[in-house]
This record gives sequence, C-alpha cells and structure tokens, in this order.
Amino acid sequence: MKSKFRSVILYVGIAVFAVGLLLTFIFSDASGTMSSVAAVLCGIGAGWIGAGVAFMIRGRRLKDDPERAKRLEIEEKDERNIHIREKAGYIMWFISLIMIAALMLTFRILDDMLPFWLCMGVFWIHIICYFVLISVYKKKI
Amino acid sequence: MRNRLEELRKQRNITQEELAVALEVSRQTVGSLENGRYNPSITLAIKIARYFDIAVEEMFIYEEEK
Repeated sequence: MKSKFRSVILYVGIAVFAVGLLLTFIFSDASGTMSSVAAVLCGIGAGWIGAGVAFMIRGRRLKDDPERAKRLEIEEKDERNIHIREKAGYIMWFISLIMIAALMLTFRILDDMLPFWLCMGVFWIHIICYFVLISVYKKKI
Repeated sequence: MRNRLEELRKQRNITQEELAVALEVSRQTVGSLENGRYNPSITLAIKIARYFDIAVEEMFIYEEEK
C-alpha cells in the first residue's frame, strides 16, 4: 500500500473523529439524532485512526526488511491471488444481496417500515451498481 | 489444460520457491499450476515458456473437451 494512501486514512480518521468529538460537546445535553451521529462519527474516526496507525507501523517495518516487502508485493500482485480475490468478491456480492433481502423481510415482519424502505433502497442500489459496473467494464475491456 | 511445468522443473533441479522467485509469483501459484488447479494468464504462460526456453504450446497442452 502506498505511503500516501496510508497517511490519507490516518488524516481522514483524525478529521472524522474531531468532528464527532466537536458534535459531542455541542450536543452534550441532547439525546436525539445529533448525539447518535456524533457517537457514530467518533467510532468511524477511531476505526480509521487505528487502521492508519497500523498501516504506518507496517510500512515502517517493511522499510527495514526489503526482502519481506518484496515477498509481500509479489503476494499482492500475484495473478492467482488477484483471481481468488475477484472470485470471492463476486460471490460476496450475492451473499450481501441475500443478507439485505433477509433484513428487508425481517423489518417487514416486524412492521418497521422506515428501515424496510431503507433496505429496499440499498437492495436496488446494490443491483443497479452491478449493472452499471458491467456496462463500464464492457466499454473498457 | 495440461502442462509440463512439474516435469521440466524437476528435470532442471529447481525448487518451486526458486521458480516462483524467478517468475515473480507466489510459491502457491507454482503449486496450483503444477496440479492443474489454475490456468495461467497469457502473460504468465509466456514468462514460464521463456524461462524454460521452450514454446508455449510445448509447455501447455490444450486438450479439447469430449
């Protein structure tokens, strides 16, 4: 992974966490949507900071061990590994679709209509994105 | 598709690891190629053929399905 990308993950994480923290102080007395948003932003930010730091530590370690870095680069660019990742991703698309459909069904049974319609939206976006990407790659390849 | 990778590699006393390093692929890929579990891209097939200094069709034998 490029060092620039590693830094971007860390900086975006810090920014998201800071916004979340700021919102927590601003809406400290509120117990509604905004405080939930603040908590979610803090969580996402903390996650990204963790990932960014982990990538940076890994990058520094690999700098001191060029042989291992070369081996990892080969593993990453290895065509069989790429093929495996693509195949796993393709199967995961179907699994995600089934999971979203199951969630939709659950919310419908519970008669919880807002999450039901949200899931319905995600379900169709998921399918539309698939066909848009197929059309993009048909032109590219 | 059959291939003669294992046969030619053993003839030249090369380990899977050494071949993998020369071809810039993982050792597992060499193993999968030898077992016939994975068919390589044209680029890798040419690289392999060039490494052993033979034609691609001598290394990879295409058998039509009956």
